[in-house]
Amino acid sequence: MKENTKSRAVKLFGIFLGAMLIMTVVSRFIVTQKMPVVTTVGIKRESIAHRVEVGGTIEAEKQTPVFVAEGLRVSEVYVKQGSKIGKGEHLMRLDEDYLASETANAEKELEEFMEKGDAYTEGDRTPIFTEGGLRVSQVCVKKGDSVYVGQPLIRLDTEYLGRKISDMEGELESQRLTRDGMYEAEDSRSAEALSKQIDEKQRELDRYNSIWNDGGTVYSSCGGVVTDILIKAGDITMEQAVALISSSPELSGEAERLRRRIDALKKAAEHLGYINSPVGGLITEATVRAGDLTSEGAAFIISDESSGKLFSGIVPDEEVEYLKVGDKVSISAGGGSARAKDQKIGLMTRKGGDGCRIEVPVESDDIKLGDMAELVTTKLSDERYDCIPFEAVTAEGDKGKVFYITETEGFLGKEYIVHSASLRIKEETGNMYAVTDLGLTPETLIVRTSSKKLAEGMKVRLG
Amino acid sequence: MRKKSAGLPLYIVMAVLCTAVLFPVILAVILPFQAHSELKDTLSPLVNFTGKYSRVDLLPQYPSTENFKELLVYSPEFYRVFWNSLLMVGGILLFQTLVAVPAAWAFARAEFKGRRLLFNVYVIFMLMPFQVTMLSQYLVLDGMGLMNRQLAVILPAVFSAFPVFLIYRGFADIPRDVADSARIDGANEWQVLRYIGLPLGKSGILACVVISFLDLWNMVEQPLTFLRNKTKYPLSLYLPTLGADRGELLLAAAAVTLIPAVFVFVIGQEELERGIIASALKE
Repeated sequence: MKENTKSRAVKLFGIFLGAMLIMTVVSRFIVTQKMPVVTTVGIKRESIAHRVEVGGTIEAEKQTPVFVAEGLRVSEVYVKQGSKIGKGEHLMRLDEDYLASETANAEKELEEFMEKGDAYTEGDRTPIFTEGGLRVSQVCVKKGDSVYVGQPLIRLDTEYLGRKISDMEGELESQRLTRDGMYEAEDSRSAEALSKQIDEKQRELDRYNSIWNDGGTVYSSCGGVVTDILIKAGDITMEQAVALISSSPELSGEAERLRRRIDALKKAAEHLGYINSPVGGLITEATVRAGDLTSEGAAFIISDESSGKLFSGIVPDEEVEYLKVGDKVSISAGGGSARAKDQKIGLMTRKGGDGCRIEVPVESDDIKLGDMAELVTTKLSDERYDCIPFEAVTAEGDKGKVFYITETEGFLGKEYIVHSASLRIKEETGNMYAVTDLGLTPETLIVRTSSKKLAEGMKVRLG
Repeated sequence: MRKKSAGLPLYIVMAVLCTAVLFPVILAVILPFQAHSELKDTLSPLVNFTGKYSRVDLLPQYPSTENFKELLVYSPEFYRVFWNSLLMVGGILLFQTLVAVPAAWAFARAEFKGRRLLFNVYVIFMLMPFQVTMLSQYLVLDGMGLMNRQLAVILPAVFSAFPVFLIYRGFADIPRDVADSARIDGANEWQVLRYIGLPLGKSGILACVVISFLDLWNMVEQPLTFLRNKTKYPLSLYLPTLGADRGELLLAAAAVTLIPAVFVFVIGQEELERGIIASALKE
């Protein structure tokens, strides 16, 4: 019985060992088939080749604004943004009737302003004096009049003047007789005092006579503009200026504005209301429309074609760091048909929160004013980044995940275990992602492709 | 009747002790049949160190062979360590027997000066635990360039003193007259051993093989000390590497690991008993 059990146990043990032997092979086959086959790639550490593309337009280096007096009605506009225009060609036309009425209004307003006496600024003004105590019969000029040296300013009442002279002559005669009497009475001291008064009065009489001889006219002693009249007809002159004349008069702000407006309106009127282009070039901005009233700003901005061409565009904030003044870039226009290489960035100016305006002078005959253009350049970053091929990264926005392999010594020899690592995508460069926050050494094997879906801790075979 | 009832308490005590001894073995067989989720619940108090006791259903709620399937079909490394174990244990047993039999015969039959002293030294070596000789063995094996090779485990075990001691007992029981008569008939010492010693000392040799197998099948310290490469690990080192998080695989592997030991025990049980009895009677 025992022998029977023993021999049966031996047989069973043999079967067990046989089964283990078979399963050794079968199990190895099954697991091998189940195991994903992966290809790997290393992490490259290199600078990022960042391609910057900025859209923009080709404009003239010099922008000429065209201003039109404010508040005039536009009857016609002949150009629009992007139009090409020659020097002297019509840009727009103003309503002539409206223009005429606005001119008249402006002139009237200036006149009123002048009359109020606030038209000129305080400055070097020459006062015109005459003898006091005379009656003014006529004021020959008004404020704002231009006068020359010797021009009559005021006419005095000659009758009043004549009476004044004869009265003074009578007084003088009387005083002289009194003085002679004093000398005879040997009161020389009083006689000398009286003589002084007589001399003074004689001089006054001489001045009156001089005025009389001029026909009672007060002349301007200097050329210029009458900035103020301090007396009017019928007044008695005092010991102060009757008029103020400025040899270099300056209008006050408001008066000057009116004067300029009148000049502009008259100039427009001379051209029958046409506003012409001062330069040849391209209309880059047109702010007026037929029927509207003109506004304060420039009605048109014209790119002056004679001044040279430049690319103008807005660089988004995130791209600004890759560009600087002096960098060489390529400018292409016309859908890439025209290209200018190695053009230097001339100007970069911040536009409060809206990126940065960039200007690149363009030297190419193929690229025309008004073309839609694209600035293209490739910049290598100073910093070096971990670069991983696209197919190795599972990307979601600027975040991603990669699987990497660690080699361990397992029971069957070298085993390759898959782990996942998250990362942040900094940039796409060529066929690779430049990534940060990966935390793996460059020697780490990154899974590029896999025959099956991978999961953390999974064993894989290298393909 | 009285005699029977007088022995009853003893039987009860023995039954309780037997159950206590067998309980871990029963668990080792039952637990692998629990489904993964059930097993997780069973083991969680132990794994998580919650301080609670693990509750084991002796009959699995949803019996499953998934754990064995996972082990036997999808764990090829198990076979690697299984064959490693078998290779090491088989190699050790073969060469150990080849070394121990002549040595034991010499101690049992040869007459030379210092035999008794030498045997006592052997016995002293047998009593030394592995930890005592580990460092010296390590240095020797390293000097021989055998580190991290299975030979590093096999070679020291081949010269173990314990089998010599066990087999010596079997040979010592053979009457001297039997051997002498063979010599008179013209047999040399090798023929005496071959035709007299081995057949008559078979029980001792086989008992030694069975005991050694059961000991070697579970050896941990030697491979752990001398082997670094996992590809050379035996089963006894594989099981701990599975860890608590792969408890289901661990239990299935433990159950399968038991099988060869059980077979060897069943096959060699008779010789083992006979050998032990022979040694006991002689003593």
